[in-house]
Amino acid sequence: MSTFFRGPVCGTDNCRSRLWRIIDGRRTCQYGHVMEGDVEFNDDEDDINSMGVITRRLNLTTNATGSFRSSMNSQSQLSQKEDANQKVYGAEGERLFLRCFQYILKLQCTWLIEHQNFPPVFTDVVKLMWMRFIRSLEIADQRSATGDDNGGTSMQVPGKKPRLSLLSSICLLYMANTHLRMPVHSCDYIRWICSMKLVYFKANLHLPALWRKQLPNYYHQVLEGGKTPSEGQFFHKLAHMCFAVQLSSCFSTYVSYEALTLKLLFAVKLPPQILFDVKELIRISGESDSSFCLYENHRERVERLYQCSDLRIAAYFILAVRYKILQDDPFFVNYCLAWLEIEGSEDSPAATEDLVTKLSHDAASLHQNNHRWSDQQTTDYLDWMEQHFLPASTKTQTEAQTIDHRIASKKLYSMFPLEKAPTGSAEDRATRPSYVDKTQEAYLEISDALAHGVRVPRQKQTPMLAQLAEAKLLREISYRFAVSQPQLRECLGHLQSRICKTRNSMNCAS
Amino acid sequence: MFELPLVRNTKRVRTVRKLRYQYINTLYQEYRKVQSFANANSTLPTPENSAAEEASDGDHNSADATSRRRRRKRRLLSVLGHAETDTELSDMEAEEGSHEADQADSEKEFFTRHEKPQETFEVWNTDRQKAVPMNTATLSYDTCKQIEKHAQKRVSAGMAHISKNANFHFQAMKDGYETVAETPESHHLVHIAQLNELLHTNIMKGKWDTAYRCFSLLIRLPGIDIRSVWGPGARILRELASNDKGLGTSEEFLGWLSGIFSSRSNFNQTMNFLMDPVFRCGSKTHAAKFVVAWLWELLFASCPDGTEHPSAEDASNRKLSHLLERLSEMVLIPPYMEDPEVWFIFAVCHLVSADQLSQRFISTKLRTSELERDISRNQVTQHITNAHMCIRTCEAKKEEFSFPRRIIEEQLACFEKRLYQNSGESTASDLGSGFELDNSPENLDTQNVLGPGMSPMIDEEENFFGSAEQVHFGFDSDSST
Repeated sequence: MSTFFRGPVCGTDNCRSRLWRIIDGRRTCQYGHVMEGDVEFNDDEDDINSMGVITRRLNLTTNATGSFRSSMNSQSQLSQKEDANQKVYGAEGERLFLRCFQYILKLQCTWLIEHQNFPPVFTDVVKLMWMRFIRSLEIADQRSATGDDNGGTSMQVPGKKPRLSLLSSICLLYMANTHLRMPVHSCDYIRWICSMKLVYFKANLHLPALWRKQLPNYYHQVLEGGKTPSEGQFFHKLAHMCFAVQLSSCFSTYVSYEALTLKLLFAVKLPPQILFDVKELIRISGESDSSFCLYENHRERVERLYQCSDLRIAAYFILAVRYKILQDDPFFVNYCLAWLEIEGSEDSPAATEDLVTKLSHDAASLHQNNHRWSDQQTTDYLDWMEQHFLPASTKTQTEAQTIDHRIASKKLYSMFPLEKAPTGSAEDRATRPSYVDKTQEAYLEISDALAHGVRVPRQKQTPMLAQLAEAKLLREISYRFAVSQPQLRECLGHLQSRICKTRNSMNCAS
Repeated sequence: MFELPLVRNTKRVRTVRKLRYQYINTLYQEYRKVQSFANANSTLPTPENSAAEEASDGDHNSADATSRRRRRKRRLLSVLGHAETDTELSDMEAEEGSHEADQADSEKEFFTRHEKPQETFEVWNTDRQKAVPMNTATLSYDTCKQIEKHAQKRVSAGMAHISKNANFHFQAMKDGYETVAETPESHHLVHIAQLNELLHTNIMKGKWDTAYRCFSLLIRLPGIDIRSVWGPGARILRELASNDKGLGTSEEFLGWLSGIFSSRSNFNQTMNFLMDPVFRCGSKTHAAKFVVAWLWELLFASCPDGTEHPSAEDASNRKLSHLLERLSEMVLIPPYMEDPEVWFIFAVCHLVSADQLSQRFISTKLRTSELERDISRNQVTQHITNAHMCIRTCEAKKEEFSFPRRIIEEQLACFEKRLYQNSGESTASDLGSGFELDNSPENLDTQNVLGPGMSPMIDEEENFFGSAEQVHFGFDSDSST
C-alpha cells in the first residue's frame, strides 16, 4: 500500500524528505508532513467515461526566486532534464556555433540592405570575407597540427579556438562596406548596435529554436553581446580581423576621410567650412591615401590606436578645429563661443540614437544627471525602449514560460497595457522631425545665438577657447567611436608631434 | 541610485554565501573549543549576539548532539578494530562527512543560533528584563588567529574550485568588508537601470503618465521581479485608473499579486539570494505586505461613500460580504492567522457591516416588518460580537500593533444602542416613562457625542495607508445630513 515515490524536498520544519506517498488522497512525506495545496481529487474511471471531460487543476505557486512552478513538478523536471541533454559540445558544438554566427551575419546583412539601402551585392562581399576568415581558421588548424608532428611531442594542442565575438561580425560588415566604398563608418555601426536596430545585443534570441536549445551556454554568452564595446575594443578587433582575412591582398581598404569628416561635422554642429581646413591639414601633414587604409595587426590588441583610420580622421578633425581657433579667425571664434554657450547648458545629445549610444557607453556619468532630462528626451527614450529594446529582449520569452506563467503574465499585462495607438503613431511619424530637420534646427539655433549675442573675443581668450572646444569635441566624439577620451587624446598627441616633425623637415628642406 | 528590481541568482553569490556560513560555523565551533574551559554557555564575543539568549540554548543542544555523534562514531571504530590513531584527523573526517551529507545544513545551523532578520527587522528590544549582559570575555590575538587559521583550513576544501571572483568576495567578507553591489555593465542591464531611474524620478516629480509608461515597460522585461516594484505599481494605478478605463485598478493589481505569489510555497533558504524575501513577499510566518495592502483597498472600496444611491449601496454591500467571507477563510491559515493587522481589518469589516445594518433602524425612510427587524437585529448583534472577538484576538497576538481600541468599542456600543432605541421609541410612547434621554432628538443621534473622537482615527488610517480617497464609516454622512 505504501509505495513511496520521489518528489520535491518537503521542507516543512526543515524536513529533508524527498519521498512521498499518498495517504487519503493527500501527498504525505516520509516523516508524515502533508504537502500543502496538493489535493488529489477523485478521478473515477466511470466519471471520465460518462462525462468525457478531463479537468486540469492549475496550482499556481512560486518558489523563492519568483519563478513559477505548477503542481506537476516532477513531470516538468523530467522534461527539463531531457532538454539539458540536447546540448552539443566539442567539435560539433563549435561547428554549430559557427553556423549560428553565420546566421546572425546573414540577419545583419538583410537588415542593412532593407533598412539602410545597402546594395544587394553587399551580402556577397560579406560572404566572401567570411569564407576567407573560415579558411584562415583552417590554415591555423593545420599549421598547429603539423607543428605538433614536427616537434614530435605527444602533447595535444587543441586547434586554435576561433576567437569570435559579435564584434567580429560588425568588423566583417565594416570591411565589406569599405571595400564597396560606401560612406558608412564605425560610428554608424556603433550607433546602430547600441540602439538595437542592427541585430547585435541578445542576438542569440534570433536563432532558430532548435539551435538555441543545442548551443552550449558559453556560446550563448558570446552571442548575447554583453557589454557595450568600449575602450577601442572595436578597433582592436577590426585590425585583427583584417589580418586574418588578409584584406589588403585583394580588397580595397581605403576609408574616405571626406565623408567621415562631414559626418562628424554635422554630428557636432560645426560650420561645414571646416571640412576644407581638415583636408588642408591632412595635405600639409604629408599623409598619403595609404595611411587611411584599414590597419592590419596580427596581435589581439593594437598598441597604437592612431593607426586605425577612423580614429585618425577624428583626431585630424579635432586638431583642425583647434588650429582654426588658434588662428583667431573672427567668424569661427564667434561661432565657437555661441556653440559652446548653447550646448554647454544641456550636455546630452538631442537625437534618440545618440542619446542611447551615449547612455550605453558611459552609463555612470549619465545616471547622475538623468533627472535633468527634458520631457522630450524622456519620451524619446521610452519610445525607443518600447519599439526596439522591449521587442528585442522579449523575443522568445513566451516559449520558455510554462502555461501557468503565461496565463498569469497575460493577466498582468492586461492591467498594464502598453499605450498602443496606431493612428497616433502615424501622426507622430509625420510630425516627428527628420534628421535633416533636426540638423537644420540645431544650426539655426546657433546662428540665432550668433546674431543676438554680441561677443568680443579677446586675444587672450583664444587658447582657453581652443581648450574648451577641444574638450567638448573629445567628449562628443569619443563615445561615438566607443573609445575612451584618453585614448582619443593620445591619438591627438601623436598626430600633433607628427605634424610638427613634417613641418620641421619641410622647413629644413626649403 | 535605486535598487534594481531584478531576480538575482548568480552562482558567485550562492557559493560565497554557502562558504560564509560554513566558515562562521567552524569559527564558532573552534571558539567553543577554546572557550569551553572558561564557561561552557557562551556565545561569540560580538555585541550583536548578546541578545540571543534562547539561541545559545538551542545551539548547546546541537553541539551536544554533534559531540555525541562523534563519540558514537569513535566507539564504533574501536569496536571494529580500528585503533584511534589520530583523533584530530578522524574528527575532521567525521565532520566533513557530515558536512557533505547535508550541504545546506551549515546555513540552517547558523540560523538556529540567530534570530532571523525578518523577526528583528525594526523591532527594538527595549525591555529591561530581557537584557542579557554583554559577553565581555576577551580573546588573545594569538588564539584568534589560530581559530581563524583552523576555520580557513576547514573551508579550503570548498574553495578549491570556486572562481577567482567568488574567492575575492569571500576573502573580503572574511576580513570584515562589505562588497559594494556591482554597477551594471551589460547593455541590457544599463538600460534596465536607466528605466528604473526614470520610473522613480518621475514618481517623485509626480508625472504619473511617464511613470506609468516606465512601469509598464519594466514589468515586461525579462528578469524583473515584480515583487520588488509592486508598491510603485499600485500607486501609479491608483493615480491613473480613475481616468483611464483601459487600465486595471490598483485593487485588481494587488489581488493579482496575492493570488500569484501566495505564501503557501515552501520557503527555501538556499534558493534565494541577496534580497531578503520577507520584505518582498510572504512566508509561512509572515503575511505579505501586498496582501495586507490589498485587504485595506478592498475594505475602502466596500465602504459606502455617502452618496445615497441604492444600487451603489447594494454593490458595496456585496463587496463587503465578499470581503468578510474571504477574511474568514484567510484567518484560518498560518501567516494570516498570526497577523494582528489582518485580524484588525476583519474587526473593522464587522464594524462597518454592523453600522450599515443598524442604519436601518434609525433611518425613517425604511419601514420594515417586525420579522425582518428581528432578523437584522440578530445579524447586527452577531457582527458586533464578531468584531469584539476579532479585536480580542488581535490584541492577543502580542505584536507591536496598536490601535484605538476604546474608540472602536464605543462605536460598537453605540451601534448596539441603535438597535433598541427605535423599539424603545415605539414602546416608550406606549409606556411613556423612563426614556427621556432616548426621546430627546439630539440624544438619538449618538454620533454627535462621539463624532469628534472618531475623526482622528479615520485620519490616522488614511495617512498610514496613503489613500487619497475619503473614507466614511457611514456616520460621517449621517452627521452631515
